[in-house]
Amino acid sequence: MNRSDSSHPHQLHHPRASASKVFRLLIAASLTGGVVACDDLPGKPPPNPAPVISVATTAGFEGMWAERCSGCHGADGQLGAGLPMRNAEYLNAVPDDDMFSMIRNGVPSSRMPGFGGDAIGGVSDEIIRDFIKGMHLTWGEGEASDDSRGFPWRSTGTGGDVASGATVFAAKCAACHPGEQVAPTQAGTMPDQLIAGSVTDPFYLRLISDQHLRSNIVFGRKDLGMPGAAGPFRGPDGGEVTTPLTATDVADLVAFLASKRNTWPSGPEVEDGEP
Amino acid sequence: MKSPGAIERTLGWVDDRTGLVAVTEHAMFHKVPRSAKWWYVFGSATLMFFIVQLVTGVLLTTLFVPSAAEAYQSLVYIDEKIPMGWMLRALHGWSSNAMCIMMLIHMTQIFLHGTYKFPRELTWVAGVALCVTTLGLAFTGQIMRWDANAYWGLGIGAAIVDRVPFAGNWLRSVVLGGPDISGATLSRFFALHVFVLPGTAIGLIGLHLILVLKGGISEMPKVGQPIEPETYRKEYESRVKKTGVPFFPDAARRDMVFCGAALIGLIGLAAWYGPFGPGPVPNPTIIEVAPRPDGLFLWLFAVLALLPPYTETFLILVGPPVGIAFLAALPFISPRGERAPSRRPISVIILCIIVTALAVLTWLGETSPWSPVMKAWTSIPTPIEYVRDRSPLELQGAIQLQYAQCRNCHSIGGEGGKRGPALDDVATRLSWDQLVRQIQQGGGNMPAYGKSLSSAETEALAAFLSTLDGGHLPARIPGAMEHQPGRDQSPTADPRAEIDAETDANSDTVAAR
Repeated sequence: MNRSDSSHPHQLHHPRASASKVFRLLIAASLTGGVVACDDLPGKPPPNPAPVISVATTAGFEGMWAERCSGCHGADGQLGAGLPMRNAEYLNAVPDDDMFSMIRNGVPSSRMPGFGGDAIGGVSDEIIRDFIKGMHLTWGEGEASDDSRGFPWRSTGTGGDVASGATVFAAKCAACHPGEQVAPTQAGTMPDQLIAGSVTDPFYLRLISDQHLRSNIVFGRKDLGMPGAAGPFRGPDGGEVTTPLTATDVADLVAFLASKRNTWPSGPEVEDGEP
Repeated sequence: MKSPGAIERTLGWVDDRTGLVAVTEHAMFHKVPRSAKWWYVFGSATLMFFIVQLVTGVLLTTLFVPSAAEAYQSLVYIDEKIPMGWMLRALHGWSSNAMCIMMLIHMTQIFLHGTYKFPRELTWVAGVALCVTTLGLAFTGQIMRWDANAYWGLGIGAAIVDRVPFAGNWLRSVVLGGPDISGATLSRFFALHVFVLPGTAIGLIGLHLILVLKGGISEMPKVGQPIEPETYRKEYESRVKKTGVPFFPDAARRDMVFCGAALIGLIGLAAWYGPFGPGPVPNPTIIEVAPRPDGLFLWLFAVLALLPPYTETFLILVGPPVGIAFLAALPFISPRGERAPSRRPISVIILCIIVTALAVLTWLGETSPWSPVMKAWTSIPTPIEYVRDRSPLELQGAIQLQYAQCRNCHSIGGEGGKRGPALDDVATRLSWDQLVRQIQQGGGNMPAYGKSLSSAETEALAAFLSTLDGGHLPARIPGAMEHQPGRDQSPTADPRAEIDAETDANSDTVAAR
């Protein structure tokens, strides 16, 4: 454009030559522009091999999550059949080394398979460490709350008391998790009441380790409407119970549930382990 | 510079020495039936795409390195380093598909209109030979990509050849250039793709066109105007003489308009969808690939996958030659008689069956429902509506469904393998006992999981499956949808039944919680 502008004064004397030059320039410009623009068309293939995006970044993490984790833990880290990882408190409470071990080797007491080491198609330790970074980056920040009351992920004390656990369960859990502890009329009285089903079912308990029970109680399943240790809970009369669980309550609840595990039909199938 | 007289003199000189000007003039201005309208453009479009193939193919040959070690990289180089190189590959690839499709439409039209009958038998035979050559070009072109699909496609080709009785081994080494797929294989297929087959095609196209000129372009079929070899030529010539129009520009105009539109469509497809492949790098040590031929051969892929094993060898080796021979013999089987489709119901029915079969097989090849989706268990989440409002045990069952890789073969929510039935309404089809038995004992092509699932896992899985009622469909067999016998743990007969109405009414509230 500049060239044609600068040459303009000379061409005043030769209008035909000027027109032809401008025309030629226009053709050249549109050809060049065409080729440049054409090289940007939607059909242009992406780089081959595709550039490796580190799983320590959100984009890389989400790609690997979709391929290897979303089946059980949900498309965006929640509302899957398994524990939601889109839970900042959970992510911050589990030490990186424990998370690494669970991802790399799986969790023997559950259906969480290992994705590293000798697993078929397993990834390197370095990638798993990066993946944990990516998970923290994506879900570990900005969504923090106090639902778990800061209780540690793993139990630090001794076992709880079964009888106290039964009391806490009746007071804070049984309205949503009806079992033999609750009379039928006491369930489902509130209009927005969700009955989440029995957690004292021995078949269920035989598939769930104590640590997994603890994780569920402390961190809840917010994606499915279950509160963490901070509550609020629903009482036997259907009313809201705002008193949070104490650390002892959590241990007692786990002990109570564990006591229901092997009541019927026979034999334990779960060894205790990590969630 | 040159006066018209000079042009005329030059043409006269060339014609005097070669006779070509007269031939060209005859080809351009010979009379064609007035009824030859838009039905007649597909042959020209096929030729136009072949010319695009030649031009883009020659350009690609200057850039492609036909060596096993470098072929793949040279394609990446063309795509990424050569300005508009990817466009060149895209044009070649899309034009190849377009050529094959136009050719098939052209053949269909010729078959439907009975144009292969007297006196155009050999035009048809040359066309069938062109069809085989074109398919050969398409197959060998796919090999040029030298990616995983090419590698495994060759493997399948070699396995087919290997089944030839007595000479199988020898033939395989002829095809592959040795016992296995190697650099020699690529060289062979390159020679076929850029020399032998295009040369054959050019020769056959020349023959085909000469025969078209010799036999004359057919008229649109007319009921009550059957082909009688004794009188047809005379009648045709007199009709064309009386009512015909010169090929150029009257008939050629439609060809040019259609070819122009097709060319614009081709450029659009190439610009929008880009080149085909190359797919993953060929690596014989990685067997976890799902090799798949290009669209044109998907029907064959489906046939090979679906044939019962004991019929394979016979049908693979006998089917294609018999099919091609039958096609080529068609004008000799039925050289005379009515051409109008309305008077040839059997031909129309056969055509409909072939088109339907090819379409269905292509669709099956594309979806390959017989193949498990190997990564479904980790990559396809349980649909959210099947996670909400499920009991803890049922959620454990959903985890078992993923972990036991059930979804590699069974879909829920439309996602997952298609090898087994979809499970969205399995609870309406199977009673609790049948669910448990199916899980434990398998059957109907499903393996037994009794040994790999504990009783609690089976219970959880069956509990989850028994919630899949296809969105509250009624039971389809007696016993389905009834409460699980013998394990009434909850105080109500079925707590879910009681809360269903409330949950539905308050689904927003539940979701929010």
